[in-house]
Amino acid sequence: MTMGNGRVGGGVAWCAAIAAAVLLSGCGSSSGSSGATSSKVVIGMAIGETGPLVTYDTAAKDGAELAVADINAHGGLLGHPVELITADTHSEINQGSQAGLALKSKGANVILTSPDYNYGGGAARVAEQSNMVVFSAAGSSKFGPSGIGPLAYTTNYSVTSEGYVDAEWAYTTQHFDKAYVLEDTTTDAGLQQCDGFRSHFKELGGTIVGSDTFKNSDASIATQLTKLKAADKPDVILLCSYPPGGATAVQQLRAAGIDQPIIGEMAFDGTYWFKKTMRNLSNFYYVTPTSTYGDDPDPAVNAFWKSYKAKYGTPAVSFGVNYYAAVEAIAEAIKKAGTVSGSAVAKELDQATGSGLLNISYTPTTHILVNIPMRMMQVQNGKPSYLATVKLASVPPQS
Amino acid sequence: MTWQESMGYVMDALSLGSLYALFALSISVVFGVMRLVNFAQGALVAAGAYALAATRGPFALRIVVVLVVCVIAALLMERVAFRPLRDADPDTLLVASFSVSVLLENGILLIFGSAPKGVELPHYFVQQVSLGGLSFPLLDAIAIGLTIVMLLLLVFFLTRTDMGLSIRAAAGDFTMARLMGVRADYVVSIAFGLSGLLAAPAVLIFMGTTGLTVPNVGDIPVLAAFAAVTIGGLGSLTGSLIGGYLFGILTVAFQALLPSGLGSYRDVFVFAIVLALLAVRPQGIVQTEALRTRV
Repeated sequence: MTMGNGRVGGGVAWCAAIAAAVLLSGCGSSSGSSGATSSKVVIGMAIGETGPLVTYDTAAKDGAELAVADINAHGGLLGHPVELITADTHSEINQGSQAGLALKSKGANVILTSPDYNYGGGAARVAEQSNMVVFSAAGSSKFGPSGIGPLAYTTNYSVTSEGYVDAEWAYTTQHFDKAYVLEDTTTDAGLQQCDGFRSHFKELGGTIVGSDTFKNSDASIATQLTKLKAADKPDVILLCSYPPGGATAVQQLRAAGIDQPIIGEMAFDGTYWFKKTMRNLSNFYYVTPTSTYGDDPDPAVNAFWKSYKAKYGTPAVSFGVNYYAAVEAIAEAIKKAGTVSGSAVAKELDQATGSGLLNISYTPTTHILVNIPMRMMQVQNGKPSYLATVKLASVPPQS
Repeated sequence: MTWQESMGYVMDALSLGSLYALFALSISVVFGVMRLVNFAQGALVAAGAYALAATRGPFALRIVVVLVVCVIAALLMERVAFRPLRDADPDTLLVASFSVSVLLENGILLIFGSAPKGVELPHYFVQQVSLGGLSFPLLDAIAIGLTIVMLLLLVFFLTRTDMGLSIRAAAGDFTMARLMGVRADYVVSIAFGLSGLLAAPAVLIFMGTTGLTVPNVGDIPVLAAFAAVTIGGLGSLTGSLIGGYLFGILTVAFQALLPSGLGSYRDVFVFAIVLALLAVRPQGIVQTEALRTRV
């Protein structure tokens, strides 16, 4: 208000001038906020190259690398080659910002982070403040306008929608009327999946015969299983959890003689969690955006996984496809925008409809996948395979 | 609540209590002699779990491998990290135990990676048995039985062998025991070896339940065991046993009885009881000479 009235003191004016100069010099040195004036387009990945996230983040990097190779094979972006650089977060949440700043100083135009809202959040906020588009495969819609900001996107499926898909398949296709819900309260993802399931299952006419909670780190869920056994026998069990705790829960369910179908989270994709301990695991189901086992109904997906396996071997986790799709979506938007400037690229991304390998669609307010055709996967006799494609009739309300 | 359901909860409590009791005994035996709250105990569990995950062949042989790994890891821990700090104050020892824990867990991370590793176990570990109309996992019976056996062996060792008597003497009054000719290095090494030996069956039970291991696999159960040791009475083997079972019973009781909306706050209720117990009896249920001196 004082500025508007022209009563800016000399000191304040100096400060404003210095701030403007700093801002201008910042803009000049940051290739992230400028157009594609340099000789290459740089995609920076703030990931855990050491520490517990290595397995997940390496898969992410492999997927992004494949996409960059494909783009460069087709002439690059805006006439420039694309380069992928990385900065190690050491798998620590508080190292995310440092990694983001390191990438910015190395000239990153776009940032990709670990597939998690918390672990990717630090670098994502740096990108947001530097007018760079930032992608992850976080399952939370907070990695978007409602949390990080309008330049943040995720190529993962909303866990609320996942719960809806679980319910749709269980009730409509399998005619399961009674469900028991086992909820891992360690992360928000488990709660949101269970909430989505409960809401849609009841909406469809099903009955939730019981619910219970546990923690991923619990030494045992024996008490929960005693309670489950005492409940009205369910047709299906929804297990909103992830390995290792979720895998432990599956083992304990089967060891307790509970052989009903179990629907798990997307995080159960892969065989590492049961191949030694439950070799003949059966009646286990989960949804994923793609099948990594060569039996996906989309030939383009099968071709992707074939080239992925040829280069990197069988994936332990399936994040590769999310990061391939992220780079694909970014490239398409940069081409349309004619610049790498975050706000311009975001404007194009917000209009994406059914784009690329994952049929990505975004709106200005929804930067997470809410209704793509999902693959219902099954594990029978210790072998995972594609079972069916489920697409919801409408976008579920997001929590 | 039906009879079967009630008995199911009793079995759950006894089984979980057995696991915590074994971990608690393993912690307590070191505290009794050295007054060390060894937070690296979780890493000891991880070492045993990865030994089990990495081995194949006859199960009896794999049990021996786990025992050997746990004991050697415990002895190395003492020799390399704690012996040079023997005369340091408890705070230094505490920080050292955190450092050892971080070092060992990161070493495991470096060797085995971050992805969970499956632990292959004989089929009977996931078998269900029926007894008098009650159906429960065989592993529950194994856990309870193994704890009783380990406890009897421990009592025999402590009361009938020279090594055991040395440990008891050192636990009662370390300085006096040294003056009476008990070698400090010897008795502390024995205590650590015993700690590893007690951790091994707990690892077997724990892995039988979970089937998977990650580098920080031991952190949470050992944290629960620390609480058990504290409410039981630091340094007291009887107290650790009582504390372990009490913690198991409290966990199962709150899980079973809390309404579904409050179920996710189970640990808040359990630790509230722990705090209340400590407020009433800060020395723990069984007070030891070791703690009396410490206080």
